[in-house]
Amino acid sequence: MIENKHEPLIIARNVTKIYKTDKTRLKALANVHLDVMQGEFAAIVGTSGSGKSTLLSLLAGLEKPSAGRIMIGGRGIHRLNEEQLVDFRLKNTGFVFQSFNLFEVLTAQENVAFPLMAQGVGKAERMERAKLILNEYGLGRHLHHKPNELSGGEQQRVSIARAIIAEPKIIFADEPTGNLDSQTADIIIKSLADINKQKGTTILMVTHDMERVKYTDRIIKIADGMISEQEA
Amino acid sequence: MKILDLIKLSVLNLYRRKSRTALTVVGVVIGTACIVIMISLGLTNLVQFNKMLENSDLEKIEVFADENNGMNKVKLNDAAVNAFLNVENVEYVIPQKRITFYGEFREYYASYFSAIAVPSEYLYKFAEVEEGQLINPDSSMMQIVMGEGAFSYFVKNDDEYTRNYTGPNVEFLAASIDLYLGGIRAIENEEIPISKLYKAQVTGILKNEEEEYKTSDVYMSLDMAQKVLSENYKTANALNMDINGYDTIYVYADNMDNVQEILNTIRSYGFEAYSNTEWITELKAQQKAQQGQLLAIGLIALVVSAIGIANTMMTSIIERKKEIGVMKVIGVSILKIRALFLIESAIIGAVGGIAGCMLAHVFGYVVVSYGDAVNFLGMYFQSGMKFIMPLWLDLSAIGIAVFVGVTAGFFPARSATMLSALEAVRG
Ligand SMILES: Nc1ncnc2c1ncn2[C@@H]1O[C@H](COP(=O)(O)OP(=O)(O)O)[C@@H](O)[C@H]1O
Ligand SMILES: [Mg+2]
Repeated sequence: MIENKHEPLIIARNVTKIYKTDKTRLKALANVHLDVMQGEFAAIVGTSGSGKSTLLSLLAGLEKPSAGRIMIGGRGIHRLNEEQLVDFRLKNTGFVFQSFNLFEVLTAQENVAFPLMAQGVGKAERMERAKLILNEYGLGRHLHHKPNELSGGEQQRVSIARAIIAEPKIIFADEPTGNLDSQTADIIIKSLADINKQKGTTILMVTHDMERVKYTDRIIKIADGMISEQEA
Repeated sequence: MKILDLIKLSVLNLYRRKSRTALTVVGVVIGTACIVIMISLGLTNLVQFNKMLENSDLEKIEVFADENNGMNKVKLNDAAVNAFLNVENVEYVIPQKRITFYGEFREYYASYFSAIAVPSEYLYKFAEVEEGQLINPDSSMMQIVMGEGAFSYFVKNDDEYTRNYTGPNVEFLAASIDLYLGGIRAIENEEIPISKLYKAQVTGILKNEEEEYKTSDVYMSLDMAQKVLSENYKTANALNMDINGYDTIYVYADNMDNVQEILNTIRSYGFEAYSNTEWITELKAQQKAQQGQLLAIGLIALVVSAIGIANTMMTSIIERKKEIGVMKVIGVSILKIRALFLIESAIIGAVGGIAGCMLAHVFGYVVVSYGDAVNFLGMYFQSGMKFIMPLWLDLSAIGIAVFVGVTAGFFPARSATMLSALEAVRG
């Protein structure tokens, strides 16, 4: 990945996404233009169904745009095939979900180590690194607990630890506080902001919680599949 | 991702769904056990069948006089022997007759002591000695070979003739036994002249074909028997003995393929004839069909367990849609995800296969029936139903179970990788 402080890390041009179902065609995104700079912490806000998740999944290469170009670090990810995308995500991105999505069968430590396991890192090393991060997040007591033995806030912190362990360039977060009470939500957003500040990781976070956006550098507002407003 | 990590993940996922995994495994266990037991049965049957073929002179035809055919009475005599020798593809003909004596040996007597008389040059076809030797054809003395079972013909008094009596505790080999033609009847009946005394020398003791059963056969040469009959013509006549006739004539074909034709010819002469080949041909066809049936039963069981595995994997994948999506989002390749599910179904196959083989062995150990002939599933087990389970059978059964697991898991695994990564993000 080519890094250039003066070029945006993520560039979306004329991005349109149309969902075709049996009877209808739904334009979830229409002609979106977006630049996200290296090291930025950007929030995507909008009402439910406005296209926030769609934008995020296109930028993360989880699905392909119907039209337009998406460049990340100078690479046209809209042109990559499935296998290349998987590899791209493994090396460059981390993900945080609204419903945590930890692996039920694995312990907290194993969950955090999972991306390293996927990269083929040996067991001793990946478990050690996972332990360090979990300790940092105050979850040292829960290394060997399964997700269903943890609270929502704890699970989300484990999931953030999983997102950052492989030191990705970008973290995508889709309503990471959606299932949490406001106090816990605050802790989660703060830790994302910390990661952004300390490691310089670019973060794109979908939220509809206006109270939380004060921690971000920029707010991108979406309505009806179009970017309506961007404020710093 | 390393293969060991994949395997560990598979095991964890199987373990999470313990009861379902266990039930699926049970399906495979039954399927594999079924296949192993069925093939083992087939093997046992085949081995016993082949052994039976070995033991049943397939070129041999037994000829009797047809006793039901009173009108056209044919006789088993030298004319018949010559007639049979002239039938095409007959290699040789062996006549045989039974001749009965009254015997005395030391302080013991045998009321009826009967010997089978065969041409001495063919004696080796009927008798095999354990101790001593076969009759010397050039001897002018009467010589006999006898089985251990025949010892019990000799008693001190008639009360000793009981089921468990094994005969006097004396050495028979090389002994000389006094014989009179005709048995006790000829001795006691005043009107029947007493025959000459023959001192029969026991040259050999017969080998027992089965350990539990001691043969009571006694053999002597046909020439000697004919000599006894002609030297005691009056006695033989008074006893209604058939002096020129035989009890059985054995006709040997040059090849078992010609047996049926020879049988037909001999029967057309009015004799009753019989050969193992006739029913063995029938049995062979039957046997093939049964082997096919066994395999079919086993295969059905296997297909059912394959469907079980496929169903379990499909259910598991539907349940884990989201998890699969997360793996895709994190960056686990399609091949690895597919491998994960294939390993899961292969493990079900392998565990089920191994347990199935063990079950089959336990079954074989418990159900085995010793010795006696048994009929099972229309199959005839001559020396009891045993289960031959060689190592290759176990190994291939486990191999098949793993193969079935992988095959059954193939389509579910493929559909797993076709799920969108979005499953993780939405819902
Ligand atoms: N896979 C899909 N098929 C059809 N329509 C979809 C699909 N995904 C999303 N949509 C539609 O696209 C629009 C935008 O969805 P989404 O991006 O999830 O909204 P948001 O995350 O802002 O709530 C919605 O109307 C949604 O129903
Ligand atoms: Mg959404």
